[in-house]
Amino acid sequence: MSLLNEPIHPIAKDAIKVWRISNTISQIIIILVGLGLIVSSIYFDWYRWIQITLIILLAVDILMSIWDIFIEPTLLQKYWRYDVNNEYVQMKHGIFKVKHIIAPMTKVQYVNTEQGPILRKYKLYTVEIGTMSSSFSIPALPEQEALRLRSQIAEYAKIKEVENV
Amino acid sequence: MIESFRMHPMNIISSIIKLFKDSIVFILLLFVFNFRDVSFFIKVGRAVFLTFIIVRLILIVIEWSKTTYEIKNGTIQIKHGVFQRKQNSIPLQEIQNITWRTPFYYRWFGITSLRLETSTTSDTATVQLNAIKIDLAEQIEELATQYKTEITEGRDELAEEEANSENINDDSNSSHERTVHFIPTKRDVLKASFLSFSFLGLIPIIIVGYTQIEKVIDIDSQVEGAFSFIMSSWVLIVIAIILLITAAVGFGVMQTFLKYGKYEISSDDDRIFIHRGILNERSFSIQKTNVQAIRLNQSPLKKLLNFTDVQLISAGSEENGDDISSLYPFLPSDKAKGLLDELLPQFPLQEAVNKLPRESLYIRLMRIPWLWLVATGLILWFKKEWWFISPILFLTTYLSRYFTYRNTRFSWEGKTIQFKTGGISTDIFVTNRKKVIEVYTEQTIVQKKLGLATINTVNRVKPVHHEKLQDIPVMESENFTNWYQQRINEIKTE
Repeated sequence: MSLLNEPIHPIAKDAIKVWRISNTISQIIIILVGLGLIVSSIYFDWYRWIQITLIILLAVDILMSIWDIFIEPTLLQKYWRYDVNNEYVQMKHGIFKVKHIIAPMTKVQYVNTEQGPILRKYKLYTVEIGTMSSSFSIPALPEQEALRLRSQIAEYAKIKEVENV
Repeated sequence: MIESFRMHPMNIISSIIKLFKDSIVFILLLFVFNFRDVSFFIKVGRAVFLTFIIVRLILIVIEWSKTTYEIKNGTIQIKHGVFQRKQNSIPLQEIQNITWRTPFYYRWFGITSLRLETSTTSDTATVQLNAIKIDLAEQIEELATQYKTEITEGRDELAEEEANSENINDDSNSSHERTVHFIPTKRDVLKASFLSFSFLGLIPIIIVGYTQIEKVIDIDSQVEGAFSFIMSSWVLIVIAIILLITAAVGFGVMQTFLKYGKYEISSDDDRIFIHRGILNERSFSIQKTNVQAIRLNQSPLKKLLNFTDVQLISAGSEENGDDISSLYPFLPSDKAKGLLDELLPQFPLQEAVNKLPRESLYIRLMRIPWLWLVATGLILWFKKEWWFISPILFLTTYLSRYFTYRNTRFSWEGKTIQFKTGGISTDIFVTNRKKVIEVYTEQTIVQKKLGLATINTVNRVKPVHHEKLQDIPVMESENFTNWYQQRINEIKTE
């Protein structure tokens, strides 16, 4: 009997920067679109309640962006844990709601690594693990670790269990 | 092995019926409602429609003649396509569910429709044989089930056995003997028919019939006459009401009898067979190992009449893409456990004992009642005079939360896991560890403060079935993940 250990491996520290950059970019886009809408609502003289709603929404979004850019990435990175052994893939993450996933290695169907432009800047990879039910990804792992993990999972996942017995 | 064959010609007729059914709107628009209208637009519409129908009719016949089925080397091969020939082959051993449907008019021709399903999600995973001779369907079913057992009996001998599998069919019949487990009694069906509310089905029929006749004769004034005649005497009113109720009940009883009257649940070593229907027959067979979980459901009315709806959760059962197929919706509760023990011993039913802690009630009461808030907001905004709905909704929301808390039980013992939930209705979910392909636990900040967590199981159907149990003690959720981890000891790897 081997008791399940809580996952212990953290993801890369640089994940904070990556998330900060990507969240900043998306927030800038949202704020620009919002401003555009507000300007055109004034220019084209839309209904008053539309103007007010738009301004309120933009104000809320600006407040939210403080959370999105400065606080959330740090906390996400702080609480992200994963663990992979020859029996199970485990993942534990979340700020307000901690989710702990346990999937048997025999049910893993594929594994791959992904890298976007921001991740590339920091030499990080996202490892995506696909099972019968869903796919989960371990975000922002250092290059070496990601590639090692990928080949390790691929090796472990070769073993399939006998179905329907 | 079955030689290459086509569908029964009856398939053409049912395709044609379907074609007209699908284009009924156009027929009405072009030929009925605008009968006198001879404008250019309508003329063009009619021409286009007629061409379409003719082309479709020709295509139906060609498609029928170009689609052939063949079973050899343990696979079904389907060749189809008019301009572009396509071939699709499905290994017999992948077939998990077999459904027969025989509408009453099919029986006059000795044909049936057969549906073979695999557990794969892609759309080429199902073979739908719309109209074939019954003896052919029997042969196919025999082959599909036979093949499966041969596989389990011995993989090595397969090649040799394939060659003379016809002879073996007769020999190994002993393992295929079906045991009948359940046939409802007349009393059960009668009780069920009151419950099924199917007599309410009479209402739309009356309304439709009424509006249909109204077009022809001026029924309103006549009914008015009849109505005032009836109203003139109390005796007549009572008689009218009694007649109406008898008609409604009679209709309900008849409907239920037609659907559930002739019902039979049987099984052999590896399959469960469900046969039902008097006019339109339907039989369904499912591989036992394909059943991922079972669920026992009792609505308040079913509780009152002591019925349980036993459902099998499996990959792609039923034709509507539902993952849940009912064993029998009105199973007498005392028989349910025995029946399940006989059919599916891998899902033992025992009383789940663990209750929820007090904290679990607190958090359930604390959750924001969104439905009530939104409903109250809408009522205040639009229909103030309906204010009384708001307190009623409030009360039911919180009462149901309380009862759900009180009735929830859970347990995992040995290989089985069981969740029992539900406020006024009861829902028991049973599965075993091997069939659970993933688990996850969740914990919100409030749950953490109260020492609670939520656990989830994932079963494989098409694609997956999630089952959730909220607000159990953290200790138990850790036990749960540890319990799941023991899975490694019971699975066999290839």
